[in-house]
Amino acid sequence: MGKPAAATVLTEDAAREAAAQQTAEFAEVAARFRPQIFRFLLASLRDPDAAETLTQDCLLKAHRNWASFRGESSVMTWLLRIAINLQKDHWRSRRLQFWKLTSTNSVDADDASQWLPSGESSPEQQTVAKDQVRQVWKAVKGLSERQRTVFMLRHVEEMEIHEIAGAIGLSEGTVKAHLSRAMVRVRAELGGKR
Amino acid sequence: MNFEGQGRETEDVQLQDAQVDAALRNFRESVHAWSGQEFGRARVIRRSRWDAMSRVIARPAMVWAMASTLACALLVVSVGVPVSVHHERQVVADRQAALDRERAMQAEAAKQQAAPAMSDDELLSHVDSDIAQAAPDAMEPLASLMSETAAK
Repeated sequence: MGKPAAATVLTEDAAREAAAQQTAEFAEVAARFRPQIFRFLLASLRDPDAAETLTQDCLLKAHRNWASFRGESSVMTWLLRIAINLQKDHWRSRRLQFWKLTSTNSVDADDASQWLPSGESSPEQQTVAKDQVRQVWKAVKGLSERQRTVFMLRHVEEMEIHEIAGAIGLSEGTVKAHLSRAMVRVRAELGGKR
Repeated sequence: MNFEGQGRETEDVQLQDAQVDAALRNFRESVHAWSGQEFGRARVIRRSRWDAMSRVIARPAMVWAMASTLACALLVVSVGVPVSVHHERQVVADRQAALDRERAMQAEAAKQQAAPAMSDDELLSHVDSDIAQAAPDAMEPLASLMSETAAK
């Protein structure tokens, strides 16, 4: 009679230990990838508050499903997939709650282009760079949701095509097509012919 | 000339590519700089009054309280209204019955008042008829004899 009770205690201890280990493991993952998720969401939404909220939601969702993550894709790809879905939901709810559009905290493209890397460049070069950034933001604003996501993952997060395909859940060919259309728009805005 | 033209075109394309690459690099660095600054900034999350209210409403205890209040209100309306209507109808019916009873009593009283007068007439006619029957025809000759004896 005593043996099963001891076994139960042991199993409970083991489960508790495994849960604690998983939590510690996830805390490390969250600390490592949080800035990147925030950056992707900030670039996609241009709203720091919304980006912060969605980053937290993304990590919370990931934490809940951490035990079921099998490592078929990289952790970053998995986290970005969650972030992309949250971003989609965010846009959808914003579209439904159209009256909220007036009270959005989105930063204007002109304001977003004010941030420049503190490199050692002349004032003229900085002005040119600022103008280019503004034009790219203007082009990004005109992209569809999917084109914008692909463009951000490729040119801001510098992900490979197959990684983007894994994160969005599309074929590589489709990702290339979206990226190509996005680039046509960016080139047109920058004054290019191709 | 032809080669020169092609060469110039290639140079233009290369220049444009370089410009696009530079713009994309600047864009990337700009986003990274912005994100780095925003990420480290302490942020006060502002919520509108409606958001706060909707959050309060969304709490399970509040949902239960609201649901039970609504259920009680529905119960009161669904049970109370028919009971009240029924009660009102009952009162009206009682009043009508009382009125009918009063009318019936008045009619009865009038009938009772009229009844003795009728019975007196009937009694008189009955007495008349009784008196008429009390003098039988067989006594007629005897009566005449008595009158003759009295004359002697």
